[in-house]
Amino acid sequence: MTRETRDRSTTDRGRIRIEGFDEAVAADRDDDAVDRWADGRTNDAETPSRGRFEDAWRRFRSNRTAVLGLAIIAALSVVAIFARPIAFSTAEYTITIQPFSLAPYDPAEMYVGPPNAGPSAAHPFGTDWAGRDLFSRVLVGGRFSLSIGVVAVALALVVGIPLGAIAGYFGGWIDELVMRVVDILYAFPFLVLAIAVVAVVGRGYWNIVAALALTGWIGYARLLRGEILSVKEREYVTAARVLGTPDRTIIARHVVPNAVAPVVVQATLNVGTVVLTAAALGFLGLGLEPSTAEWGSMLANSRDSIAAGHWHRTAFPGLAIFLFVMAINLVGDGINDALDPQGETAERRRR
Amino acid sequence: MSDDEPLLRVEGLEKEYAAADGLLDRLFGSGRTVTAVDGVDLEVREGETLGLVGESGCGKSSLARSLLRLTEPTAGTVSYRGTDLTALSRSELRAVRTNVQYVPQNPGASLNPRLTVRDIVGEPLEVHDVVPPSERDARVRDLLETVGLAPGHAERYPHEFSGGQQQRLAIARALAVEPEFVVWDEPVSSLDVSVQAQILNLLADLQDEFGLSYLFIAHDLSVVAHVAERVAVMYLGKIVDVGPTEAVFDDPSHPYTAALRSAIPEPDPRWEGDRIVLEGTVPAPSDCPSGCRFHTRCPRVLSPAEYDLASDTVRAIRRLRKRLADAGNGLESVLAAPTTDENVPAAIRDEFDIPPELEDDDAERVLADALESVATGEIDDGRARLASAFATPCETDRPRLEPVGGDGDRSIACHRFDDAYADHLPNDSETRTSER
Ligand code: SF4
Repeated sequence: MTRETRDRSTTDRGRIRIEGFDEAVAADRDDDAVDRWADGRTNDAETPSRGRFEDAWRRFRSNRTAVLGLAIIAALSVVAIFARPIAFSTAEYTITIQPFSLAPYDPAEMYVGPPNAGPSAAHPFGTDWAGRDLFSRVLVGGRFSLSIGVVAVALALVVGIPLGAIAGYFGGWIDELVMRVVDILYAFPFLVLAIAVVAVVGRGYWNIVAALALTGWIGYARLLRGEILSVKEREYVTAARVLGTPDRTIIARHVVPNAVAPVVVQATLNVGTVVLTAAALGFLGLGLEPSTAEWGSMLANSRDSIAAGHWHRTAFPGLAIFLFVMAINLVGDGINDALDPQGETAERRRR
Repeated sequence: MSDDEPLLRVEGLEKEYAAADGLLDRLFGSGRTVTAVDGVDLEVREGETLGLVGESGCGKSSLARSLLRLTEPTAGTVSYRGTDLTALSRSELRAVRTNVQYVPQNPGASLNPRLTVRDIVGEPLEVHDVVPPSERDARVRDLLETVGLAPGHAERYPHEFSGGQQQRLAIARALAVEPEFVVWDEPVSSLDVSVQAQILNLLADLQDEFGLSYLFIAHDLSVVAHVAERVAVMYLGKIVDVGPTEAVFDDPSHPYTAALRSAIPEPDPRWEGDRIVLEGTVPAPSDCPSGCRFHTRCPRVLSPAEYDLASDTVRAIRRLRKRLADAGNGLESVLAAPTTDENVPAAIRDEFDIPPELEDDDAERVLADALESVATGEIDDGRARLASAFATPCETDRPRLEPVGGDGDRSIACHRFDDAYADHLPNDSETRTSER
């Protein structure tokens, strides 16, 4: 673009000229500004331009309690994964995926020690009524509790995010329909609904996951819909519509990514809630089989033993639950602060 | 399409918004609506720039959005090269988006903060398959260069750019579909003056280079004058004045245009014009004045036919009537400062700058009676007397956009230009005979 075309194009239109600035000077200044700006940026090639995500990660990392929570979760996960070997066996082969075994005993094997023995060198957490090693059971129990938490929340997100996004973006009768279902489900307390579902479909790992996902998606759908109602009014959504971008691309590229932050925070915090609910179901006898090494079930099976003085049978599974839920909450708060440094959504987060 | 068929023809376009916002309002369907765009006719010819001017809140953006069907217009047609955009299905409309583009008001807000420039400018290329995927990056770099940005900026995020550069990005994105017609919604109002000029020059260059037609929306008449061949002036949802730029800058014109024009800072030190200061503020669209929508502020409002009054007097009486209409039933609410003066009518005349004796004897008699009623506390009576005696056609009759002058290029919606109202012109009207 040459200077001549600029000059020509601005003199032969209209009657009024823009005064108070000299065009050539301003044009130079503009070029300078762009150049200076470009130089400053391109010269230090090792600091590439940072997206929102990198910024958020940096803020998260500088938050000590959140990093502590993340470390606890990582440690618990590692322990759960490496507690016992993981192997897939078919008729002919057994493929061992994970050969390590941190747990000294098989958690299901009975009478590896005297029944109801207190903590000792051989059994650091003691043993239960059948002489099973509690230390091994707590380590392996993490597999159930942690995976139920993560899987149930992931499933709930898979249902809740699309429904909330569609309801919020399109509005109208779709919105009414989805939101009425959400309202109806909200009328039941979370735990009561989960109990009802498990009572109907029966016990079992996947049934519990399903019950928790079924009760979990409503929160995400509602939260996301609310965010989308404001995000869809933004100018960049208008700009995308005027470009002729199809609705599903607009939702996936422009609307959801800009509305999902509070849902991510809520989902993280909910992993803790879900683990607690799974434990509560186990405690009520609606969880996995009573002999399963799951933290909630272990608590349930030993509740009468407190009176008999066998404190270790409840203390260690309880501590494990406490540790994990606390760590999840630390991480959830950390993510919240990282995504939302101004604290705009901090108030709305807790429902 | 014949030669004189415009590129874009808007006819009778209306946009109403439901004013009901509470749940109860929705349930009981209390049908209160706000008319943001009220029967607008416009034409944009091939290769030209039509400037659309008006104060903020006059419905310019609503007009742009409904003519592009970003919101559904309530009534009217928009034909683009003979196709009625209001009748198209969603998918047909999507195809039109490659010809007609819109650049929204605030460049910063119109760029998704989470996407890189490459994704933002590349989006239209992808949606409309303008170039094969392998050439997209190269095209994005071309487009960046066309709008005066460095091709290397493709990996950056919008927040790393200045306002002017963000506007250039929005321009590059709109150009990506290779449009013929672009609607610019206040493209420079959020920018510094020097940056404004650069962007305006860029728009002009792009127009020359690609043969584009523009609808250019602004609240600032001087900006529009700089780029537009024709100008349309909008007030409260209606076009009140439209014509070639030079003509709109010449008298005679609509009183509102004259007021906007007088607000442009004039560089010429010898310039002697007076700045016309409009009384009051733009009324809310929900409470739209009857008759001519501008009558509550018009400095050249018509006078009642029976009397022979000067414009100052007409305006002074209008102010008094406005105060009476808003006032409660006490004298305190009519007079700003409580008067100790025995002579209340004189105090009122003083406050509203009404001369102690009107030029017209009949008018004087009516006014004196009305003020007497007000002074004795019968405010309702005074109000009614004034309303029946000093009602002007501006309050009651809605002016229509009619051609003015010989070539039919200029149209104005004002009773001053209608011979039927000739005897309503105030007696000091300088343009009494020449206006039509
Ligand atoms: S019709 Fe009356 S109020 Fe309206 S612009 Fe003309 S003179 Fe003013």
